[in-house]
Amino acid sequence: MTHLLELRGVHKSYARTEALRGVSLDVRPGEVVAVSGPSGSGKSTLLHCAAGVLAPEAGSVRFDGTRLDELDEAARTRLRRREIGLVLQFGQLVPELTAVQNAALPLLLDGTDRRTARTAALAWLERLGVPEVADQVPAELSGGEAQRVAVARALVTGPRLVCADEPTGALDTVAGEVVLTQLLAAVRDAGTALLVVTHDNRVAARADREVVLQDGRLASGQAAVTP
Amino acid sequence: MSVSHVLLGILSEGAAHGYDLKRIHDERFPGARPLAFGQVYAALAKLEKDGLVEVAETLRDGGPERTTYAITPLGRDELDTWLATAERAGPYPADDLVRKTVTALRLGADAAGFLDRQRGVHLAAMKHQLHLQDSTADTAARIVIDHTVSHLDAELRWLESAAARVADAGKAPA
Repeated sequence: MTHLLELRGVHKSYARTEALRGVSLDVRPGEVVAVSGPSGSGKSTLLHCAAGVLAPEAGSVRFDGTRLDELDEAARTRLRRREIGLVLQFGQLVPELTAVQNAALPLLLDGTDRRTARTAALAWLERLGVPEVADQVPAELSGGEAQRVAVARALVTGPRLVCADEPTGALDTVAGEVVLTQLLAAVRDAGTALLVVTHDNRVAARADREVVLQDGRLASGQAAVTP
Repeated sequence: MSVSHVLLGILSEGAAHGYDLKRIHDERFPGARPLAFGQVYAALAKLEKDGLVEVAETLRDGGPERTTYAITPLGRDELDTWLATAERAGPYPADDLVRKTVTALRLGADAAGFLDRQRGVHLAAMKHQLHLQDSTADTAARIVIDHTVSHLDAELRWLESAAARVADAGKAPA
């Protein structure tokens, strides 16, 4: 099977700190891959390079054959908006917008008309079990609800890849379990690949495969998580 | 002595004989070692001697004698006290994971490789438990699975920290 995402020899530094030191990683269409490792091992940097948010200094990032690292910022943003959903630890919802407006945002930014975008966003809120919060602003939501709105926002464009950075990291065990279950069910139903950075072993266990980063290098991984 | 108390708990739902007690115990705690019949009957004999259970009925219908036991008021008091009492934490003796890792380190063998392979085994076991979790809506069953998953999670965290310590020791020998 061809790879949806291919990272080859990716290097990324911040000042004098080398966050990634030649990481190569493949993700197949529809595959769920967990990225684990100690704090500071480069997990979030890897995720942001994979999502096209950060450009590596060396190495390549291919999304469905397209070199993300060679696109200009505008082209990368366009591709990201349509094809790659992003879920961050604290949701990062726009505080002035309601839940449904937040979920519809990627479609609105991409030129979809307001009514169609709202309908699609409402369908995702329903699918993720939070239709009742549609007209509430983020300050009125629980952590678990806010994170499910963030998942709806990531999935609303029908992306082929979702990159999630500690999506359950700020939630208690039960709320985290709900978000995780909904996120996994949604990506598996839609055939969307998921690259998920996590400290949560329950997330890693539910993945198809786990890779472990240590000091900016892949310490192990590529092996399937099978009972 | 928790097996006896679990048996008291089952008997508080209704009288039962030894075979039923074993079957119900094993169904409720699928992750625990199944009770041996000898263990059940020894516990029942001790509970009866202590006045916590009593013989409700003895059947002799051609086959082997079958005795049905019921909880006594004293047994109910003992059960209530047990249910309300917090258990002590630990001890946590070094298990095979710890012994194997320490032995590998002492011998200069591949402790990191073992820890990495063990993580895969633990993750797969957790995946199986989470699958069981998804397939039941029964609160008691989910609590039992939570307990197993939490232990696996604790051991996975230990495996991760042990791997980090082994990696650090490799960079700067003590």
